[in-house]
Amino acid sequence: MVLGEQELWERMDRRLEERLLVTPLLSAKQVSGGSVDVRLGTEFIVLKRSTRGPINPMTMSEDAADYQERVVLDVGERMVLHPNQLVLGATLEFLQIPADLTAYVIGRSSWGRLGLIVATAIMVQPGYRGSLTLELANLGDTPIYLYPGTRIAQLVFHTVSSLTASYAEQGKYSGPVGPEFSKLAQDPDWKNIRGLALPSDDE
Amino acid sequence: MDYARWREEMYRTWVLERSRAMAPAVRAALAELPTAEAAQWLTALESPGQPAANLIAGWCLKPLVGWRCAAGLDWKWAKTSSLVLLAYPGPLSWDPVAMAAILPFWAMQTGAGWSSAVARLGPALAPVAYYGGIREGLEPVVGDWFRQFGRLAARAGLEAVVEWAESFGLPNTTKWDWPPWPEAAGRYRSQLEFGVVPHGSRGASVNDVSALLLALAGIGAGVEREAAAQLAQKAVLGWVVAQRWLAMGNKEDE
Repeated sequence: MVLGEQELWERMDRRLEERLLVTPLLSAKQVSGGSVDVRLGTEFIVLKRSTRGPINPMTMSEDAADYQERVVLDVGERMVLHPNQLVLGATLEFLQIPADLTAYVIGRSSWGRLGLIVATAIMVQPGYRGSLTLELANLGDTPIYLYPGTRIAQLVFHTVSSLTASYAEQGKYSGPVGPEFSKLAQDPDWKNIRGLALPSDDE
Repeated sequence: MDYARWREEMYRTWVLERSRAMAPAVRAALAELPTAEAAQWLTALESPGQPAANLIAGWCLKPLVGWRCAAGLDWKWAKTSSLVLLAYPGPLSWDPVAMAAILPFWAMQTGAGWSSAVARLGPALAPVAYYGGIREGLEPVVGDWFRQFGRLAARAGLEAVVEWAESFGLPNTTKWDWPPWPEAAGRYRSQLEFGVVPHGSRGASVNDVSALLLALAGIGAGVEREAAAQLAQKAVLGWVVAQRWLAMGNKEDE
């Protein structure tokens, strides 16, 4: 069931352990019609062309600086997103999703019509705490300015019918406050994939 | 021309050339300094600085004009006719509490900024000085801080700060006009300890940065402090954005 505006506010008033938290909420208008608008933060990971070789998802944490750069804007600054460029941003807001809720992230179509595609992990797990990393890509032919503070996506909250293991059960887990690069290299499947792989020239 | 003079001229030209991309006020400030000192400041100013440090320095020094700060190895300042340059210890720049020592450090240098430091930091003044590693020149205020807040601070888990402040003795110094111990500090600390960004009701940003600094100082040093510092930094960013939002005529309940 999708939560409506009244229940969203009621959840935000609950005691800390059960609270739905979206902070800083700059305007009450961000909570409207069953969704909460989130804004673009000030921190970005800019993906750039590698000088050493392609990204190997098995080992990418070893050479990450070769193809990414962290950029932090001052409040009021802007950055350019060039055509075909991908940057990772984060929501200005920090979230705490209660253990009995899940959220879906939906990019705003107004941005999509300019060529700016906002993707993310789409589903935010029950109990999650942290800012959301947003993948921002300019699919148009014209550069676009990104302004921190602009509304970039919407969260739609749903109840989950039975409580399962959640982030909240991991003790004092607290998530990221800025964008995070892919953690694909930590995937446990790589052990098996390595076993399947044929020897290659660059290994 | 002798070699030493020629070398000095080459060095100075190099500094001034490298500073070309900087703002005119910074270039003017560097031009006033001795060459070796200008080179050190230039190297520090070329780095973008730590986001947490920039945010807190901006909050601390907001009423002042004509300053620029940069990461260094320790607290340092240089006054020129166009700018005051301030360096902070880069290794501590992730910690908003330690970084806020930039305000008492600035007050110590000028000898005239104590009233504004007391008004802005309030009861957080001694904790930020303690964690920022500054001591000399604090005598005019720390004794009075101990008198005012020693007991409250001990109850808030700041025993190390209280002990440090007590070591200054209780000289008959000026009595400062301290703001009261902020009620929000306890709430913010609970939120930090729970692992969320401190906030007001219904997700509003924090409304008292000095209370936030007190809350973070109460968490002590170590791994938990590092995690809490990130949350506090995000809270400060939220406060900065919210303040600007309101200053533009937007209302919270719009």
